[in-house]
Amino acid sequence: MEGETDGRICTNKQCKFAETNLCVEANDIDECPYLQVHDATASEDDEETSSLGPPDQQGVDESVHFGGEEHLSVTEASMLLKTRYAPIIAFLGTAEAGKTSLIAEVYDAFQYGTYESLAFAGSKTLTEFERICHKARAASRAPKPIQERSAVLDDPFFFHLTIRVDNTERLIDILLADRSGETYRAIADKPAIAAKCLELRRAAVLNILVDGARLCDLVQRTSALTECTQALQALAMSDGLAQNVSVNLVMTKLDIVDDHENKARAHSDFDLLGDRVLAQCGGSVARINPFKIAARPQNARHPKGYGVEALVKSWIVTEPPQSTYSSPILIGERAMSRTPSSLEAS
Amino acid sequence: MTGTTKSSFVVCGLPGSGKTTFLAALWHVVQSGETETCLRLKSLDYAEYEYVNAIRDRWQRGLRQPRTVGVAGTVGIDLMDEDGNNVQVLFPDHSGETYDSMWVTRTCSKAVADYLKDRHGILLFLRSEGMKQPVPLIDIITIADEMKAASPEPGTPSSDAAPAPVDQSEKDWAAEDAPDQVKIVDILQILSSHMPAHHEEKLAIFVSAWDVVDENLSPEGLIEKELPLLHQYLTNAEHGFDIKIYGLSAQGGEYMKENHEDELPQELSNLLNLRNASARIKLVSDAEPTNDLTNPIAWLMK
Repeated sequence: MEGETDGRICTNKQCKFAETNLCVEANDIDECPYLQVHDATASEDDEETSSLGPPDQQGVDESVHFGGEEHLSVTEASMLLKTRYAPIIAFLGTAEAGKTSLIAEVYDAFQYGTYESLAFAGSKTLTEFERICHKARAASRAPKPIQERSAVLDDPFFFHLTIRVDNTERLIDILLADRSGETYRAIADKPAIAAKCLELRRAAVLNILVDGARLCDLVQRTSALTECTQALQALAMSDGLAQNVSVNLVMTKLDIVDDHENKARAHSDFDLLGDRVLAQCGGSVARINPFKIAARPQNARHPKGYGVEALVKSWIVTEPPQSTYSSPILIGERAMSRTPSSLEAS
Repeated sequence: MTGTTKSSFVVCGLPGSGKTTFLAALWHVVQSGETETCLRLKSLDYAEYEYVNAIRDRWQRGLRQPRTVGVAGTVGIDLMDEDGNNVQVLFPDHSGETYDSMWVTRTCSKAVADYLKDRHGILLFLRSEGMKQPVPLIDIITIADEMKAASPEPGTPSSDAAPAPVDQSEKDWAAEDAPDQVKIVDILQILSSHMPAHHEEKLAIFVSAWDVVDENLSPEGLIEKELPLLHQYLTNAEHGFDIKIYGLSAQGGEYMKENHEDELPQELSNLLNLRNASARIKLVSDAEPTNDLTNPIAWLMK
């Protein structure tokens, strides 16, 4: 039994309905598929009553489960947001742009104590952070640091960190939203998909990742410049950006850029990109903040995590963004996609 | 004088971190009465001393404690403080694997969970050396490249040729291979979030084998230097723990070989020659070094 109020029992393990009388997925309680009416007159042997929970929750398996094996789901992120504000940090970038490397390095730098003004104060996703750090560690025995690509899932998933900034009294929670780069490419092809990416609409900070390695490549440089901004343009033109969203333009793989013969042009292309993006977004974005990073350098030109601390500090947003998104209908496979939730509420 | 109260403490740490050695040395100190202590043996009312006597015997003979499997035994000691208050302290000796498994499987048995919840304080043990640390792959590659550049062997291919095949295959991620500091942070997060105490509780951290640590380092300094993630967590998180950090040399030096036949090494001989075995113990904190292992217990009970 997960929760019980007024004879109703919620079978969703994530839901605290019994304590809060609220549905974690913001469903109307008369329509929530997880709520079942409990017949108080039924005996403990009653088949219907005893089938409410899986066998391992009925005393067969007495082990205690702590959770935390994976990243946070949309539901779990929503639950966190019900208890405290945490800015959602979203990333737009193609499959090889370095999203997962960046997320991994944001966490990994705490392991080495390399941040000057950021301190680790907890995480609900330690296991998943460790998993994505593996291929850049000696323990992997890999021939060079590589990064596993984000899983292709319908919903975004979240990494969580609690951090202290500049020794200030207040701790900050942040949710790093990830999903596969293929999805973001799909937004460029079908802009309507952007409306379904709730982590982008609710983001306090949007990081547009520009693959520095591709900027150095004569054949790929124009595509690299176009693809990284097209999804943002789709969001802006559908009023899908929060009013006060902060937008970062992030050149990744700076180690490769600075080691390349086309280095000067790559930097120049990137430096001019901000104004172009502002023009494309037609006033939906007030300002673009440029960053250049080498999260997982493959040479010794820049230290590991170069530029990441400044980027993370730009994510410390203490006021929730004001969503301008007004589409009332989001049809999705999961209940989260069908109904308003903490992630979608202003 | 008041009646006897019972206090159960969580003794946690990863495998080989010195939990059992601490309990053995604590029992020696209390039972022998060799040294002035904050807490003194009140009675033998606990009645079951087979396990603690066995580990104490090994400690007295300078032998390393065998690896604990599951919960080897519960150490119970009836103590009396300076004000005459009686307290029975209980330390179930769970294996380090119990705590490692909590990180790997994200579960523990209900019996372990009940023990963790019913706690009056926590003793956390860390190794001062041999901790599993994260090593950036790029550092290894850079060192290998530098070595190759510095000492090219005659007749070998030039440096831009394909590297020699590596004789180790790539290793998939496994939770058990995570750095020790991550596992320890996770244990503390589980204790503070999933099984929170009803009030602020005390956490005594022991950095074991302190005799091999650079004498210029403080116990907290060692954690800050070697385990930055844990240090940041301890000093910044809202975990609710009142923390005190100790450096602990419970054995005093190197261990005796299991089936010793040769002449004893001088250092070991000196240790075993001490008039009072309690003098082997060295507990370092912000106060003067002491061999009174009841000092942290008294602090935990305050």
